[in-house]
Amino acid sequence: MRRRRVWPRGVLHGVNLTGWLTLESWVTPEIFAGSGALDEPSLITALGERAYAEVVRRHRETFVTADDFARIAARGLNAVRLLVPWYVYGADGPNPGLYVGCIEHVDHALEWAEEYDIKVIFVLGIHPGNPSPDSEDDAVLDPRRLRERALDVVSSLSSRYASRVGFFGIELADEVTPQVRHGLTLTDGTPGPLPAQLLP
Amino acid sequence: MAPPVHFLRNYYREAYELVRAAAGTDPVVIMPDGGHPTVLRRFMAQSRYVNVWLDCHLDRTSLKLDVTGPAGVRNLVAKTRGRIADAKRCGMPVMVGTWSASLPMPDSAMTPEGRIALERIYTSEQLGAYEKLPAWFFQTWKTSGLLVSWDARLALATFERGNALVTMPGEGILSVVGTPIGNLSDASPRVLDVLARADVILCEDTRVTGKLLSAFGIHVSMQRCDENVMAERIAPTLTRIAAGERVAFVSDAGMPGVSDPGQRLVDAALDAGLPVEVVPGPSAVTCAVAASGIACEHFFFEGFLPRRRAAQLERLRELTGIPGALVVYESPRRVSATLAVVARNAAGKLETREPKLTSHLGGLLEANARLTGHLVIFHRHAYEVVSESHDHTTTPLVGDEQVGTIAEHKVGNPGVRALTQDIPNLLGIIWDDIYIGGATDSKGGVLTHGLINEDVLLAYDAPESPGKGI
Repeated sequence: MRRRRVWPRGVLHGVNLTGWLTLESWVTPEIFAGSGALDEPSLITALGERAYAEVVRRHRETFVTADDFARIAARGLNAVRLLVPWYVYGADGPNPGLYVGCIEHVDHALEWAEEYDIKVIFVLGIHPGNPSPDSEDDAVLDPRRLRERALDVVSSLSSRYASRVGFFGIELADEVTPQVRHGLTLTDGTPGPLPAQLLP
Repeated sequence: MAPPVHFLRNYYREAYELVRAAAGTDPVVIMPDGGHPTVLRRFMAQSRYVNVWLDCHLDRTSLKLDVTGPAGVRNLVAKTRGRIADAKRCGMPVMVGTWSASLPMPDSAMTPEGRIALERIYTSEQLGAYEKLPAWFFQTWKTSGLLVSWDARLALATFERGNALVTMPGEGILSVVGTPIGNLSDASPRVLDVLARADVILCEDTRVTGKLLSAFGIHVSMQRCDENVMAERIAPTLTRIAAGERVAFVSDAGMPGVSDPGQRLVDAALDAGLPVEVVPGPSAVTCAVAASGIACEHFFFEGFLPRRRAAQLERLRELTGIPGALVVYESPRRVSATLAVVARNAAGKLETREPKLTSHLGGLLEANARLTGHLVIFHRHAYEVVSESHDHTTTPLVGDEQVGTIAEHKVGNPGVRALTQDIPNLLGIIWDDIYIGGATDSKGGVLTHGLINEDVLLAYDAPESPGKGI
């Protein structure tokens, strides 16, 4: 496929690959349909470990493929922002619980990206302070465990892809809700409400 | 529970060192700003930290703004620019990690088409706001439900494929934009988007175009560019486009450059090597042809006929070789006399046909009174022939009986050229006295329909055999 560079050179213009390696009910509602779940942890509970593992395996293999990277490049875009969950290494990494690892998909993504001259920014899927699919995870309640787990993954990903031309950068967390100081009081920051279209 | 800022700082600092140790200084290390960029202050802005960016997420807003019009959308984007400016105060390059085309308003606030139009404006305004940033990422590449405002394959399609539409900073363009010919709903989202983003709109009459713009809440400066000033407008317009401005070119209604001098501007821009795009809109020619009901596999668009009767007849004579239907615009003042004759010959049947056509075209021209007039259709089955006398009164030369004669005559001789040659012989007159002014079908029914717009459309349905018809 012939590549057209429509956007100006020297800067990244790209898309998120939301809902691929982690499941999002607004991206693929069909996966959640019938389960009563709206986020990934509830889906695991609703489907059970084995069924969930099968669903997520099938989804990851089909939702984004080399063809998507070809199309992204054909549209003149030159970058993707890929959310990599903290459990990317599965059993080989920090305690994944019932989540399924996906490092081979991250490998594929980078290969496809390089084939089409697309840069990749990896985003570590942690959400400090943000109510999120991980909210039932003890790491959110224990900042030190969160930090250790995140640092392990950041370090591993950086060394794994250190010499790759498609590896443009790494974002250290996705959604963060820091404490905000108002005068003498500290409150949780507001991440902003979900848009009306995305509310169930 | 939100983590204290010092916790985040420690984590970012440690992570930075790990990335640098593992992969050197090439990969960019990015921190999300968490919606509160000032919290981090100038953390990691120091020179010993290399290649560190801050990421703003702008796909959701908690702002309570009325975004049901372009002004509200611009207001929202102005706030977004302010948010980016805040983030830049941290002293690091700022990227936008997530943004979307979704406007914060309930679906009930607007029609689906209106929302699409506004969201395209929102998208293009955002692209403008982010164009100087080192990176942006649309949220998201794909959704299985094809969410219009969130799926890049839909939301960005116009802007990726629209050539230099909005994304190339400093690249001007001449956009030839078709505008509604009566029903404002015919203004497509792309039309509104291009008009809203134009630096200047060249138009025939600023009062007419001003009404269109105000109907959609678009505020862009206008400049008159009708046939009287076209020549002097061309050079300054080309200079503006070359300087990177977006110039939209519209007529009062319909497609510019069709039966007006607009082609000279397009021609000059192309000659100068400047980008030109057409944003299609309604056109009276195609609407009328479609509404005429006659066979128009091939039609020839003549535009306006000469005003002088002799020249007009001469031109009509030249056009008799056209192997297809002939479409002519004409001022109602020029043909009203002829139409009156047609009406008289139609013995009242014309009047009964008018409402049908008017209702047929529905609201085609309801909002533009300037364009009320007549449509005349010539049909091949038979011809009604009238002559115009020197005192400008017209007299039917062919009565019902003679129409029947001519119709019969045509059965074995379908070419109109033959017909027009025969009629003088038949009636003992010379060609210049004959004006083909109306039509009847083979049963004598009048096929002349009236009053669709100010321009009179004469559509002549030619015989099948090429070269023999008008």
